[in-house]
Amino acid sequence: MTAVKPPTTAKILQFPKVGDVAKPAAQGNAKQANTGTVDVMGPSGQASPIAAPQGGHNSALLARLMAMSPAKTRISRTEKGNVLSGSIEASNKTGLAALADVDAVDGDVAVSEGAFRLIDLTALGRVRDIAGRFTFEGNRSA
Amino acid sequence: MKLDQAVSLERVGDTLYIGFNDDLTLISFPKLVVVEGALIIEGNPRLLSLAFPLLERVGKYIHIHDNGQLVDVAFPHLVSVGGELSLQEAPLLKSITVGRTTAHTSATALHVDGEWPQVFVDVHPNVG
Repeated sequence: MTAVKPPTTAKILQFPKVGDVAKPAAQGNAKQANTGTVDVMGPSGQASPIAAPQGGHNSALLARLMAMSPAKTRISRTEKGNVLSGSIEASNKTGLAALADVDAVDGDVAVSEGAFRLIDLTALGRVRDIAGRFTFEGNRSA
Repeated sequence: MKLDQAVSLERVGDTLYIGFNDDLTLISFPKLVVVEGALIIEGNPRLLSLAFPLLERVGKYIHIHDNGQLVDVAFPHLVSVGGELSLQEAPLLKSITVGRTTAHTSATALHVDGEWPQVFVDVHPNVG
């Protein structure tokens, strides 16, 4: 621990650069063997095209994801787990619900403009990887 | 208001931006290891604490600006920042911890700007 007197003006410490020593992020769940996709339409959408394994837990999961998503997205079951293709922007009560059983998002995730008071962010709890931007901006709780 | 729900998030492939949230008091990403883009936290007037306990690498830069109530900043596992680490306009800031002795941190610059009464900086730059 080095105690440093606070500067009254900007203080810049230059460090030499070194090679990138960081390890790659952990990959998805290798136990997922099944794959499948589902196109998800919004609440006002018509029939939702589904191309996924039929029957059992897989269909129930995909049907639930389909029902919750506010915008057209695609959810695929891959070796990384359930991957949502496309971007999610939470601006209403169901905005992030589509992430409830998602392990990875290959687009952006945004929560913005006061949406926090309406959104249950616990839907983020399972997501391990966001390939794009994650933005949390302009929110307030009351 | 707390942003601590992303309890499994390990990687953000682009920028992680948290800005201008009036009531936000806590930011916590307990499993986040890599941010490939920039990490920007700005304009959160009630923010008290940041928790990135496992963050190792930020591909671009870290800007923590204009968070008036922020007291502590700690990135205990940070070893690589592509650009600068910049801390500005946090008048109540008391401590900054970056990296650890067993894993030195690289960055192009540490930029600390402010008139703080007492700041302890615990940084372990790579000097070898």
